[in-house]
Amino acid sequence: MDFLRATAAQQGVFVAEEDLVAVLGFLEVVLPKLAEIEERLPPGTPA
Amino acid sequence: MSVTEAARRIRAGELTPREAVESYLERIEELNGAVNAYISVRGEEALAEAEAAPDGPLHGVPVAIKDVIDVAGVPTTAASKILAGNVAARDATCVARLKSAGAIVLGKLNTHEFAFGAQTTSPHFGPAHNPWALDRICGGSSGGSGAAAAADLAAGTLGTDTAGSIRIPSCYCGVTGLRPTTGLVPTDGVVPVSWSLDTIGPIARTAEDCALLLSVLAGEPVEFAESVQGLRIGVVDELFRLSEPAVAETVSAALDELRGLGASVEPVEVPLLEESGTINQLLMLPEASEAHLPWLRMRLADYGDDVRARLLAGLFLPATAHVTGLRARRWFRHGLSELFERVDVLAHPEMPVVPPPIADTDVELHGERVPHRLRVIPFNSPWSLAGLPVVSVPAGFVEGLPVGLALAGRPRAEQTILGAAHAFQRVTDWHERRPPVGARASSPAV
Repeated sequence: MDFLRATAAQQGVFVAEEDLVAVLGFLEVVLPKLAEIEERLPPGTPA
Repeated sequence: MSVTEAARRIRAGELTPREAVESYLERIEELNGAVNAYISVRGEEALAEAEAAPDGPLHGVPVAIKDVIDVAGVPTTAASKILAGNVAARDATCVARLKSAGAIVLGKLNTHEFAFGAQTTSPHFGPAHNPWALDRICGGSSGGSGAAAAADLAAGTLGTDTAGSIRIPSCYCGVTGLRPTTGLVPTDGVVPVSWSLDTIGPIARTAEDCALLLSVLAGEPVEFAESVQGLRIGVVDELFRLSEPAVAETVSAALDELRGLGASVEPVEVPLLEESGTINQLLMLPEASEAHLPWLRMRLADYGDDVRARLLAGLFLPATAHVTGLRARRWFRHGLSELFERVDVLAHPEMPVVPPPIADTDVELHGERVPHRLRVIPFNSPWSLAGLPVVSVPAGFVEGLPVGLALAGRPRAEQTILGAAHAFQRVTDWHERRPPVGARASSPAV
């Protein structure tokens, strides 16, 4: 939570505790899915 | 009165533009308190413009615009507190094109705050109420557009669609809505959600209405085939399995109609269908956060809770996630292009459930309570990610509430999907059914 708060503050956004809880819940779902997509993405696929 | 019917009657001299505008203003006065489709109404301006409407395909046709799209002299609020006093200096290109074609803008329509949600329950402007059941949501984010089209509060409307925001309210409100191919309609003058995914499109009564409005919005004719003979429809089985059984059965019956008209219908699997929702988020969330960054810094407390949480999420994804999203989009599109060598159109239920009560953020699906916002994703994000055109067509009712059939086509294949929708509407009357709200409110033009 401290890392998230600091990351937001570095971007000029000052986030309340309850919002960080919601964001953390989202990240816990999406980051594993992102890792899976990164792993399966065929090498050399252009952007 | 549909867009094409209004245009025809005005052209034939059966109705003047002023009479058409007056009749809609009367209905808005009578019904908007119950439906809350409009955020602002430009009564005097619309009446004045009706006296001097340009000659064109929409001469004198009353329309209404989602309140994230600029109309000169009117606030573009995006149903937010942050933009409450944001008066537009000029028309968005899409609005200018409608006006040049003769359309009269009646007002601005309710939306999910900043068009960033699927319910249209702004904490600042109140929820839009579904004309089929006022305690239900209209869907979103273009919920006011869906409600206005369904309740005859405009002949036609404009919505925007980033990840389902035209299709969902069209489905839930029992009207026809088209998300065009990404980039076909200019998006300047629109409060952005996501630069690479945003689109503008029509929500109206019929596929014919959508074709007429699109031809003006895109600046090119849309002429669809009258027959679906030989059309190859791929049925996205997975999305039928994810739907409530009664919804799936209703949409299956709609596909039987198309089969009876000469289309071939076969089940297909869409590669990366499940992953496409995540890929879409990898693009949409950082782009939305970037678009909102000045307000996140200065006005964070002025967002509604759900939109604030979603916008903040994009701040914490690494930059590499967006690049992965861009690359994975290419991967997804490649699989789809192979699929579109075998079929012309992909079909599925537009939504897996009927519109839930306004107070519920969860819906019941296969006996479980699940967040409505998560159920939206697999039915809408794949085609947004690929930039495909999709039409949602009224296909029947479950428990008295509308169900929609989604037809997605190749990029720039609006004529194909609208042609299939039009063929379906020639042999069905789901799009002609009217909701109970306003049934006793009469006016001569409507």
